[in-house]
Amino acid sequence: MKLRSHVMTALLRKDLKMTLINKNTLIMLILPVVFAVMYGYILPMTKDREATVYFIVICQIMNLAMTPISLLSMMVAEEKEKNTLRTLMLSDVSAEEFLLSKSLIALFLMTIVAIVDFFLLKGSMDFFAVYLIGGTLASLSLLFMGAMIGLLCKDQMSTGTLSAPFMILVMLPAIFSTMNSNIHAIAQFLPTTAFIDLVMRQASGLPLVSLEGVMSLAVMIVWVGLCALAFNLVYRRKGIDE
Amino acid sequence: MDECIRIANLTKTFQGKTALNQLNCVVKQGEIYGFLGPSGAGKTTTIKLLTGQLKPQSGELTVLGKPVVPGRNDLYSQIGVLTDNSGFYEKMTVRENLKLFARISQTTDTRIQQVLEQLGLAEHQNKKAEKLSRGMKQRLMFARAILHQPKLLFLDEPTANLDPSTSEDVHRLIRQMNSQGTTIFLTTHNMEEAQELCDHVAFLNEGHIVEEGTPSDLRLKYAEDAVELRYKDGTCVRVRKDAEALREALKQEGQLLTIHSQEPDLKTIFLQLTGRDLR
Repeated sequence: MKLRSHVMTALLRKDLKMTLINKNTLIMLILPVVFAVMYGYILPMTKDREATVYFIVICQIMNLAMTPISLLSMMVAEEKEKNTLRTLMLSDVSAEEFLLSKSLIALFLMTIVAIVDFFLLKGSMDFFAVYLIGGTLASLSLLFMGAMIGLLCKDQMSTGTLSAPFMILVMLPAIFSTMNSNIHAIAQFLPTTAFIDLVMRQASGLPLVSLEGVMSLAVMIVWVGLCALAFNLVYRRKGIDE
Repeated sequence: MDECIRIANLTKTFQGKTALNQLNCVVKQGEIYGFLGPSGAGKTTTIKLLTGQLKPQSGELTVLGKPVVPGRNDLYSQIGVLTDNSGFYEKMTVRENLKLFARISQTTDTRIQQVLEQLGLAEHQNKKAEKLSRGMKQRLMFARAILHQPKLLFLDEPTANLDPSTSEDVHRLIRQMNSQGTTIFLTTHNMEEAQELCDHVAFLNEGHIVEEGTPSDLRLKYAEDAVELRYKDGTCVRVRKDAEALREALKQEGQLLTIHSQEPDLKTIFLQLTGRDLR
């Protein structure tokens, strides 16, 4: 693995700038914040702590589906589409540096959005740490997923088609798991549902160190392993740029 | 002169179709080497193989004394590559683009300014790259390729789709880089360009080199064994290049206007060798 600090610094600066001036990627980041603002208008009517926690995790699930999957795959595919990936590769940038820089920027922006959503919805600080750490853990597998989709797509447009089923998979069952037992049967094995469980337990004062808490953590870790494996297979087969 | 590139028995196939077949060539340090051939002859494939972007089926490739290993990019700090699919960040300014690549290659800001001035980009440095004209974009890509002062520069059809004036600018830059010691491996289907720029040319046809040498040597090699004499009365005769025939022709004292030897240009030689036009 080739990682050099001067290259990483240059790539991180560039990736942050390019993400923030790209309308397509900006929408992905703004959408969960827009929803948080909308829920913020509904919340004063409910004044219910459980509802607050629910709306916070809903916005974070949207953030988890949008940023690591859709935004990251878009960032990778854009460089392919505009031939800048080839130029970077021929300028002594390694594949690891290229992908790590993009993943770190996606993780950073996802965390910023998560914090903004949390304070917009006036979340209680007693579950803030679990919310952030749980969100980061859940995002790791999704980052591998986003990078893999980016490698499979030729341009930004095609990432929309390929990332949509993955986004639906991690977003909808987790949100609707409490409404239907069949959905719950599937949802309990998703990293996003595991994230919801951890936050809900902490917010309700239930112990994290319990069978359910460990199960949620295990689900997240297994997903990281599976997605890393899938990414590795795609990377070996397709390389970073055909 | 040391060898800069060595290609030995290089073969590359794509889905059973042979793109390069047992290709051999040597590029010496400090020269401008022209790799000439029509579209689809295998020129770009050769550059991709030499720069480790593709893996050959067989053969050996050595660049700057080291074997080329696909996927290993330690070569890239010493080479510059400009191909038709080179890209830059359109939303960033000219200077920001160069600064990014300067940071990657640990090049100084002084060098950025030097390259901007050398390529006539200094007054456009704060313009977004997407606002540049096609010629200026080509200069920006050229600037990016030479920023880290590579020992070897690969140029794939550097003047394709450029107007004559911009092409002339690019030629000037190529000569300038070469005079500073950079070896240049240039692919083109433009024979006039090759004749003007290259120290050594190789004709590539259907995946292998059919002829190579210096442009002047090749023109002499394929020259007709005749000279053309034009007289004041408008008559024009061709005479074999032997002393007796020439003496006879020159006897018409006072009548002779011009004598021209009959060397073909590179385009004609290529056509003669392959029967193919250069498009």
